[in-house]
Amino acid sequence: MMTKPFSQPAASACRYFSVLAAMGTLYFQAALPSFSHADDRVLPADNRTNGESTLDNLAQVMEKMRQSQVALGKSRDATLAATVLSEDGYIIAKASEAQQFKPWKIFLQDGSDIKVRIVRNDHELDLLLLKVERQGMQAIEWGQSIAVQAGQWLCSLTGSSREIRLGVLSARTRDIPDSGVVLGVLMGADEAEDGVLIEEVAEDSPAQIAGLQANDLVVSVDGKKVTSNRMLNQMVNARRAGDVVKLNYLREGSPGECEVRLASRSRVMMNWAGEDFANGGTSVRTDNFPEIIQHEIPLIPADMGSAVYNIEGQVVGLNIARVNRVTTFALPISVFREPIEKWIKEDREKKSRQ
Amino acid sequence: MFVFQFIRRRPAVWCLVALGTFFSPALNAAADTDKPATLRDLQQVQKKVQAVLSMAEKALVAIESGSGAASGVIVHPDGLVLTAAHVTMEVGHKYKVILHDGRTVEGTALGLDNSTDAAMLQLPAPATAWPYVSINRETHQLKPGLWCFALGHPGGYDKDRGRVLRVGRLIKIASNMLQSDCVLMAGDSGGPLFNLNGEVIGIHSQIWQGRDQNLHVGMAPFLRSWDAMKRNEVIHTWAQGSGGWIGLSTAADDNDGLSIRAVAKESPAERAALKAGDRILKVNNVSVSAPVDFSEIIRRRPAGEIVTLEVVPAGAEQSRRLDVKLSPRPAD
Repeated sequence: MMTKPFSQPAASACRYFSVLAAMGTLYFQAALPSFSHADDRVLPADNRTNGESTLDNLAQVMEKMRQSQVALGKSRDATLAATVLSEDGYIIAKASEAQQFKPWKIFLQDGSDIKVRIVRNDHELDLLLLKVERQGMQAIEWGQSIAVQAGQWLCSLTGSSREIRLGVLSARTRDIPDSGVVLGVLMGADEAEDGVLIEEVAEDSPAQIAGLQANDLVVSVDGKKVTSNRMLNQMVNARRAGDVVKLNYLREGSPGECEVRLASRSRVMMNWAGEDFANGGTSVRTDNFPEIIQHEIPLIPADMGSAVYNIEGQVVGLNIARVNRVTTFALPISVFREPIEKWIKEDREKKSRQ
Repeated sequence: MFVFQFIRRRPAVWCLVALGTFFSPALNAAADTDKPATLRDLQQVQKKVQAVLSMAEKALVAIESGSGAASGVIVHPDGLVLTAAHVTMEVGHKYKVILHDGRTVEGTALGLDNSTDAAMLQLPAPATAWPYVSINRETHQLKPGLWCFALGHPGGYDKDRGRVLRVGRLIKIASNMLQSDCVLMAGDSGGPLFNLNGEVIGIHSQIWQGRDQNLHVGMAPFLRSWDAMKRNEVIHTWAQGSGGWIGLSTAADDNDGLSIRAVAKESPAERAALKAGDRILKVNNVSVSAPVDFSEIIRRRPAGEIVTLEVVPAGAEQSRRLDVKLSPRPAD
C-alpha cells in the first residue's frame, strides 16, 4: 500500500468494470422486450417530482431564496453559486470549486457586477469568505439550526439561480473522512527510468479532462522531474482537491504539457468507469468534511455554495459537494455558523482599526 | 463494487429501440393519480414516508459477493429476500448479506427469472423472526403519478451512511416493470421501491442516463413465479412475463357494462364457459365499462392468478360470479 498507493484502488476499480460489462450483456437482451406490453400512460414531465407544476408550489420560497443568492465568477455565463451572509456584503462560496472561476467578481441579481475582497479561504470547511462593498444586501437567515430528518423535503436553486429543485434528506448526518487527492490514472509497472507510464485513465477524471491518455509518459510535475510511481504519488498527495498541477509528458516520443485540476480520490474511484450518470458532473472535492447532511436534490457542481432550504423556506445548510447521481452533501448551519461569525468579526475589527 | 445495468457502453441501436417503445405517446385519458401535486400533497407525502420509513428500512439488506455489491428486501419473517436476477445470477450461490443493524449473515440464492430480472434469496432460519415488509399484490392498481419511495445502498454498503432514501412518483407502468423518478444508481440493484403504505411495489433493476429513467421490476413477475422461484427454478422464457391473458374481446354496451364479442379457442375464457353476448359488469368487485380498462386489469395481473368476474349470461336477467384462472399469453 505504501509503495504503490495508486495501484490497489485502481485495480479494484478495474474489477467491477469487467463485472459490469458481463452483466450488461446478459441483462440487456433479456429485459428490453418487457416494454412491448407496456401500458401507454405516462406521467407528464411537468407533474414529476422535479417537473414544472410541482416546483410551482415553491414559487414564493424561491423568490425569497433568490434574494440571498449571488454568482461568483469572471463572466456572467460561467459562475459558481454564492450566498449572502450579511447586509453589509459578506458572501460565502465553495473554495475548491471557486478556483476555476478566477478572477472573481460577484454578479448580483439586479444585473450589476462588483469586485470582491478575499477574507478567508478555509480548507477545513472548503469555504471561501468574500466581501463586497455594498450595503442593504438580503442575507440568509442562519441564526439558528433547523432540525431535519430523513424524508423531509428540501430545495435549492440551480442553473444560476433561475430554477429550483426538490429532493429529500436521504441518509444519516455524519462526517466524511479524507481520502486524499488523485489525478485519476492507473500507473504502469514501475520500470521507466525517465518518467511514470500511464496505463489507464479513469472516465471523467481530472487526468481525462486535462487530456492525458494511456501510454503517456509523465516526466515532470510543476517542473520537478518524476522518476517513480511513488514520487508522483507523493507530489500529488501534497496538494488539495481543486488545486492545479502542471504535468509534462511524452506521447509517442513527442513532448506535451497539461494542467490537471486534482479531485478527491473517493470521487474518482467511485466513478472509475464513468458509469455514474451524475447528469452535470460532480464536485472536485467530495470528502474531508467534519459533518454533512445528505440529500438527493438534483444539483450540479456550480450550484455548490448555495443554501439548502426546507419547503417552509427556512435555511438548513449550505450545499458543499455534488457527489454522484443520487447524492449531494450540505454543511449544516451548526457546523459553519461559529467559525464564519468569528471570521467576519475578526475582519470587521481589522477593518475598523485601519 | 457495482452490480447494475448501465446503458453507456451498450450499442446505440439498443437505446433507440428501447426508448422508442418506452416513450410512446399516451393513448388514454390521464388517471386520477397523475395530477400536478399541491404543496399540501408534498407535505402529506413527507408525512407518510416518514411514518413508514423506520419499518421499511429494517427490511432492507445489502448483498455482497467478491465481485459486487447490491441491495435486497426481506418480505417474509422466515427470511425470504426479493432482489434482482442480475444480482444473484446463479441458483445456490452464497452471498454476504448485511442487515439494517450492521449484522452479517449468509444468504443463498434461490430461483430467478432472467426474463424480467426478478430473483429470490434465502436468509438462514431466524432466531425469532426477520424484520420484513409486505409486498403489494394489487399490481393492476398502480397508476402513473403514484407517490413512492426507494431504499437501497447506492455505491455499496456504507456503515456510517446507512440506507439511502429517494422519494418520487411512478412515471409508467408496464406488465413487468415500473419506471419512476426515484433516482437510482449502481449498488441500488435489487433494493425495494415502496408505496406510501410501506408495501413493496418494485425491485430496482436498471437505469438509463436520464434522471427520470429509473426502472424497477414490478411484483407481477414475482407473484407469477413465486413457488417456482422458491423451488430454485430458473425462468428463461420472457413470454411467461407478458401478464395475464383471458382470451376474450369486449365492447362497451349501453348499460354501463361490457359485452363479450368473441372468445378465443382454448383460452381461460372458453374454459370458464364464457360466450359471445355474455355481459361483464365487474372484475374483482370493481365495475368496468371500457374495453381498454378491462384488458389492462387482466394484463397487469400475473398469469396463474384467479379473477372473479360478475357476468350476466346472454339472454339471462340475473348476474352470477365466475372465477377465471388467467394463463400466459399464447406465443403468437
